[in-house]
Amino acid sequence: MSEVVIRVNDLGKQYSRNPVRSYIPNPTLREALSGLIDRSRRSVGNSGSQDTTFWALREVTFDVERGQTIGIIGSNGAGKSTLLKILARIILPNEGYAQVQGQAGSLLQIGLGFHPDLTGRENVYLNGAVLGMKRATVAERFDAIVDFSEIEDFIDTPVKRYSHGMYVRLAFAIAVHMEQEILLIDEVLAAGDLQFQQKSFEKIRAIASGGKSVLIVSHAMNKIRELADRAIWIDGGRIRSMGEADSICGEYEEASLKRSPPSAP
Amino acid sequence: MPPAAHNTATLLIEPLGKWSLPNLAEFWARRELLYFLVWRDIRVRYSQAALGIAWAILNPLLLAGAFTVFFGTLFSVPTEGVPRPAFIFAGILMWRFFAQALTRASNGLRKERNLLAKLYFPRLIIPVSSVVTEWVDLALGLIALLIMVTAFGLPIRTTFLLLPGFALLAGFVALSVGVWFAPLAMQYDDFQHILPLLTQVWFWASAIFYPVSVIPDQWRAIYRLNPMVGIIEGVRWSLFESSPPPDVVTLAISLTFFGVLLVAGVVRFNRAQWAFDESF
Repeated sequence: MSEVVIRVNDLGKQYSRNPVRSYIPNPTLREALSGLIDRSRRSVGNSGSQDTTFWALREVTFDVERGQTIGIIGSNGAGKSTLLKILARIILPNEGYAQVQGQAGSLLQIGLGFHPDLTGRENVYLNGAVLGMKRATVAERFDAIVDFSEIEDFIDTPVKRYSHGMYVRLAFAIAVHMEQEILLIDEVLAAGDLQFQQKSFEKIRAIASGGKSVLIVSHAMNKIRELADRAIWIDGGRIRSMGEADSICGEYEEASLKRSPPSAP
Repeated sequence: MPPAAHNTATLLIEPLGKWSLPNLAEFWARRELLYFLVWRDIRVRYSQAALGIAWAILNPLLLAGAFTVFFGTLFSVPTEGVPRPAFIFAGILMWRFFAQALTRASNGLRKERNLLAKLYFPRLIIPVSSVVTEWVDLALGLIALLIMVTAFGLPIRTTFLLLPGFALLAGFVALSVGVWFAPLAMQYDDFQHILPLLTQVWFWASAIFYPVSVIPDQWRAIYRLNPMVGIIEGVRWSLFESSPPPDVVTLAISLTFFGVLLVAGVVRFNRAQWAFDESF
C-alpha cells in the first residue's frame, strides 16, 4: 500500500513577464521584431538588469502513493493549477521532474471538446475520445453515463438546446466514468443543482476510496477535508506545508483569516 | 469496477531537452481522437446546411462553372483538347482541397486553443485531422469529376486508379507547409493575413485554369518546382487521354524537398507545441 504513483521532485515552472516573449496577447510580427531589437539593445547596454521572469512554481517535492487522495490548497495565483497542468502534461516544467506511474486522466475542465451542434450521444463519444477513452470503453459505459447524467430523454438532442444544468450534468457524467488510475481534478465539484452536486461529490468520494489516486485542487476546505487523506498547501509557488488533510486545512484557514481583516472598509 | 490491469509504464515529465524528437508511437496510440475530430468536423460542417454534404461538390463545381465561362469566352485559354468544364473542374478540385487543407492545418491550433489549454494529446493530431477532413471532401469531388468525365463521353481509363495517389501527395504538401505555419499562426496574428495572400499567389502559379504548355519553355522547369503543378498535371493525365504526363523528375525533386520540409516541420512542431503554454 505504499507504492508511489506520482513522484514530484524539485519541480519548477518559470514564466516570462515580458509580453513580447510570451505568446499572449498575440503579438504581431512587427511587435515581435521591434521587441527583438529592443532586447538586443538592452543586452548591449545593461545586460540582465531587468528581471522579466518569475517562478510560478519552485522546489516542489512530494510523493503520492497508490490509492491516496491529495488535496491541493492555497490562495489564487499560488501555483496550484500550474502544478496540475504540469502533471497533466499541458505545460512542461523548467526544472526538476515528475514521474507518473500509469495513465493520468485530467479533469481540468468538464465538457472539453463538446460541440453545440452535436447531440448528447455524439458528444459523449467525442468527449470520451478527447479524454483518451477507447470507443469500445465509451460504448460499454454509455448507459451508466446517461443514467448518471439524468438526461435520457434528451440524449439525441443537440447540446446547444440543453440548459446549463443538463450540459454540466452530462459533461460531469462522462468525466467520472473515465478509467484512469490517477485523476487530476480542478474545482469541478460544483456541477448542477444541489442534489446533483451531492451526487457528484459522492461519486468522486467513491472513486477516491476505490483505490484510485486523486489529486484535487479546491477552495472548499470542507470538501478537501472529507475527500483527501493528505493536503498540500502551496503559497507563492512553494510548498508551505503538507501533511494530514484536516490539520493543513486548519492551518490554511487560520492564516487566511489573519491575512484578511475582519472589518471591511 | 474490476481493478484495471496496472499500466506500469512510467511517464517522466521533465524540462524540454535539446534533442527531443516527436513520439510517433504516442500519435498512433491516440488515433481514435484523430478519427473523432475528423468525424466531428465533417458532421458539423454539413449537418446544419440544407444541402448538406452536396456542398462538397457544388462549391468547386460552381467555381469551375464561373472559370469556364470567363476563360472560355473571354480569353480562350487552351485546354489540351479536353472539354473546358472538365479540365477546369479537375484543377479547381485539387486546388480547393490543397488551399483548404493548408489553411485549416495552419489555423487549427488557434481554433482548438481551449482544448490545448486543458488537456494533453499529441498536438500534431490537429493539423493532420484538418488534412484528413479535406480528403473526405475531395473524395466526393473526385467522384463527381469522374461522373462529369464520362458524361462528356471521354473514355474510362485504368489510370483513374492513380487519382487517390495524387490526392495523397497534395495532402502531404499541404501538411508539410501547415506544420510550419500552425505554431507561427498561434504566435502571430499576422498569419491571418499572410495565409490568404500566399494561397492566392500559389493559385495563379498552379496551372488550374490553363495548361502548363502556355508557360514559355525556358521557365517551365522552374515553374514545375511548384509541386501542385506536377500534381494537377498528373490528375489531368490520369483522367484525359489528350493531356501530357507530368514531368516525373521535377515532381520527384519537388516532393523530396517538401518531404524534408515535412520531417523538419514535425520536429520543430514538436518543440513549438510546448511554447504555447504562456498563452494558457
